[in-house]
Amino acid sequence: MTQRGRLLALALALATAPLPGPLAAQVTLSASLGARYTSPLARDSIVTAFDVRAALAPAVTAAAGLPLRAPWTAELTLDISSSGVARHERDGTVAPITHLTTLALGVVLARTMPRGFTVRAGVGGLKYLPSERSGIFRDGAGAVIPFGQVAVAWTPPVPLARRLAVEARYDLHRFLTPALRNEGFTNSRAIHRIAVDVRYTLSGAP
Amino acid sequence: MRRVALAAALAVTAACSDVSAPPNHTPAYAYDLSGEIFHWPVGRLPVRYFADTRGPMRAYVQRALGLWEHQFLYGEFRATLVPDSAQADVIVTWTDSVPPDVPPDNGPPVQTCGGATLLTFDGSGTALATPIHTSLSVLASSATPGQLAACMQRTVVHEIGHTLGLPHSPDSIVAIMNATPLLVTPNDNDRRTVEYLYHVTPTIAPPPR
Repeated sequence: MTQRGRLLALALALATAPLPGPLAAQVTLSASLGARYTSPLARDSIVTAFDVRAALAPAVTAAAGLPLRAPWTAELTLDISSSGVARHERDGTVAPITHLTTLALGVVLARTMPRGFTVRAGVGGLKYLPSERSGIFRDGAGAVIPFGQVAVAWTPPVPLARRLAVEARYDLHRFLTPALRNEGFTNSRAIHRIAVDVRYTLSGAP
Repeated sequence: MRRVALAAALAVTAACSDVSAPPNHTPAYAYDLSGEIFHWPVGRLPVRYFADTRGPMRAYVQRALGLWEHQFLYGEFRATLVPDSAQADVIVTWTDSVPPDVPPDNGPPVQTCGGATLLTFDGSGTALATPIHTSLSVLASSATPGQLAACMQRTVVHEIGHTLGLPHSPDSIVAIMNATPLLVTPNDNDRRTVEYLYHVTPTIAPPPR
């Protein structure tokens, strides 16, 4: 099994691990599906300036929430998104580099607010999993990267939609691959990711 | 609470600062072919290579393409081996005899083989008319089969460098593109030069498909 496969299997095992009976009864499971924008992974200039960007990616998240003292909830989240990575020249030329999956495991503190809003903030570790060792990932993807995230969700005041929420998520981490370091980049780059998704509460209180 | 807010603000500021300037990409040697520039455009990637099916040529070409692809960071060059020479952009063959498929001798290099890469222009002189042809030949010498294999490996890397658009590098600069290649793989001089070449607007168009 590849490193990528092992990481995915571990993440899935963590997300589906059985809980003790009384604890399981309190746990809320939810899943969300949406789209994610990622800010440029690298900026360079060889003759002319260009960016290396991940395309708009589908983002899937699974979360297990454990209620704390109201109105707080602790959540364990697993987030996966996948898209192509390409060089974008100013003249519109696009050169594909590789396909990239990002896997993020986080712990989140959620707080319910009035009018159907829920705000979340958390931290975690993020791993880049390129489909091949090429381009900026030719010497690997580097270690697990710490990230911070915030999110706001809104549940429409409609009885039929009480398990649904529209959510906007933002996270921030720093990015530098061994190949970019070997090329002469000395500092990692701040990567901003914004996702908009629909969250559905699968079990437990919405 | 104010301290926490201040610490959070500092953390966000640190995370958002991008003070790294792009690294130096100055080429190590001239990358033009008598004033003309050739490289494969993005729209022609992956470049299709046909390798002579006899002897170890396919392995040599595969290795060389991997080495050259590894020089690039930003998707500038990709190549693939194709089984049919009629579908190829570059054709690599033996000139005459086929050397034995033996492990290369890693000792001091012995120049016991030769290579040539031929670019054929159309009438306008600004586009290639046919696929690029590269040929490898065994020179008469008393070298061992291992020394010949080592020579072939580095010469194939050198000739594949020509098919990417690189000219010979001056002997004053150590590189795989020296007229007599003594390196086993492209070095930093080759990497910087080929990387730069692939960001310059070409004046020679690739052969038609």
